[in-house]
Amino acid sequence: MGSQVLEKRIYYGSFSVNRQETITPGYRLLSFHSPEIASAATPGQFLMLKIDRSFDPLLPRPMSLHSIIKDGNRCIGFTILYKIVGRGTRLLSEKRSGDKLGIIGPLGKGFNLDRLTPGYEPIIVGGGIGTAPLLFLACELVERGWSPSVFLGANSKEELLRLDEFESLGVTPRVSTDDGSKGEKGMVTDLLGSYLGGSKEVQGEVFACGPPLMLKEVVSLVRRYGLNSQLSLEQRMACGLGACLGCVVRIKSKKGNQLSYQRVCTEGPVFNGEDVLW
Amino acid sequence: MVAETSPSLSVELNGLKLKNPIVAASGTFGYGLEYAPLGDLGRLGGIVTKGLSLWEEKGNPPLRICETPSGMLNSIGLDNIGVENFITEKLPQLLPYDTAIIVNIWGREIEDYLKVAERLDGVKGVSALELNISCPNIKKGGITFGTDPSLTFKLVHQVRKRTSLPLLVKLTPNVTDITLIARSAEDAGANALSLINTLLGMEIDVATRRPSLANITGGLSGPAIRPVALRMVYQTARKVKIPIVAVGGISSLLDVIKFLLAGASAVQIGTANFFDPTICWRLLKELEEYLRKEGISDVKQLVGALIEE
Repeated sequence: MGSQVLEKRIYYGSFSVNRQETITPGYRLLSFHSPEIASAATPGQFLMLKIDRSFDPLLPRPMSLHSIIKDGNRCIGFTILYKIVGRGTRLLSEKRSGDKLGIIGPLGKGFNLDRLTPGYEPIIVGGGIGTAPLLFLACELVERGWSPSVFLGANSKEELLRLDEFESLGVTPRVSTDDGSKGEKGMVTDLLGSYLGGSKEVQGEVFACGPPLMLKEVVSLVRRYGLNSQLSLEQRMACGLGACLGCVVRIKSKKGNQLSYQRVCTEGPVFNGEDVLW
Repeated sequence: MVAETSPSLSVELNGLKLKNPIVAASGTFGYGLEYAPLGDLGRLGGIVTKGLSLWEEKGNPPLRICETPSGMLNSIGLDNIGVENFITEKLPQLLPYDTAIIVNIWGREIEDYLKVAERLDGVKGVSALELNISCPNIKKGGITFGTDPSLTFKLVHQVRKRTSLPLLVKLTPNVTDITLIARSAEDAGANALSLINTLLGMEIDVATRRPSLANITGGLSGPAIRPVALRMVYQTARKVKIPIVAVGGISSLLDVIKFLLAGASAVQIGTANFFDPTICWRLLKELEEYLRKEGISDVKQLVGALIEE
């Protein structure tokens, strides 16, 4: 494998694809063997994948860690869940077992689970491919003894991702689809809204990943019910290491409510929902 | 033929000594420390910092980057922590590394450049200044100095008087004749020249009918611009006496050698750090192996050794 150990427990090396599966048309699951990355990673962190040795596409792609593969108690590998959207992901979809990819990781600040205090309910909200970092999160929460509520939304039944895997953790996702082919017809934020507005008063922390409009709605819902949210954001990225300053998003600075540009790769990818300026 | 002893890799840039000619380029290596988890910074010939100003600069709004064929566009807008924060927060952490710290500086007015240069003069751990007169992504300053030979002269001449540090001047390719600007910088007292900065470019997202960058235009870098950089280094090397540090798409050992042959005394690795984050260290090893294999005892023997007939 030839990976080298780095100071901050960041690993860089050439890793062989273990397996590539189509989980539903247009969506793939890639698995890699790497006890180092698997042991160092926390939910919400990401990797940079150099898909091809050529100069076109040139830049590595940021990808969330989707799950950790375990052998008993030992972390031995990880998976990446992705949607084929452009040239990079199309090339990635052509990789076969044994093909090598340059990978740096784990990178960034993941979800902050220390905010959960006894009596709190972790609430997970995912839209479309935004489900990618949330299975790892659900798994970690369950291992720590929490029972998260999970809400997942997608365009259609086919694009509701990884329901069985959430089920196998003992978590039953409540689902919505835009076309009504499964679960409630409508947005996942409608589901979340009914839940938070229901008879039971919810004390909890919301963890969300999905399209910007969904995340924006999550923040306003969560604010209405007095909860806090953590959002996993996405941005075009060149280095993943905090050097290029290309992946910034608009965030309220610590000093008052001024606009600051913060790096998704370093200050993120998980940001406090209230701090994100849309 | 195999040389018995290790080939000499050190280079001298008219007052700035580098232990080897592999330098990390400004804007692609942060303040150096971002890459410390990946390799020993002390082995590199030098590190050029992100462009620093007198003030903390927020930079341009996102989207700031966009991939293009064999390259990328950026419009970061010189986002930086400011010279004072650099001196107090970053520089002390860089001191343990035995590498040349070259501080890239910029301003909107001549006075801004002078103040940053003065602030850095005599500061322990700073090996040289690189004057950025070539950033295409800010409204005022940067490139406006580097596209006018007389303004280049005026700025470099004044900065020269305010600093005892070796002074590199980083030139823009977005000019009709880069050698004119190069000669102005030389005449004004620059120790060496870095070329080239990015080429001004643009991309459009057809699906949204919008520019791919929030700033609309941006600087093109990466392997796509390497032949342009090579041509400009070649032309400039024939017109100036001061050393040239080549930068522009360098991504392999062969690229390094090409630039040395064209007349560069050292090279900077830029965009390649993004897609190949340990490339600086690997090039260093490969360059040493190459010299050994070719029986070249000193890397300086390659500088300007292009055969033209």
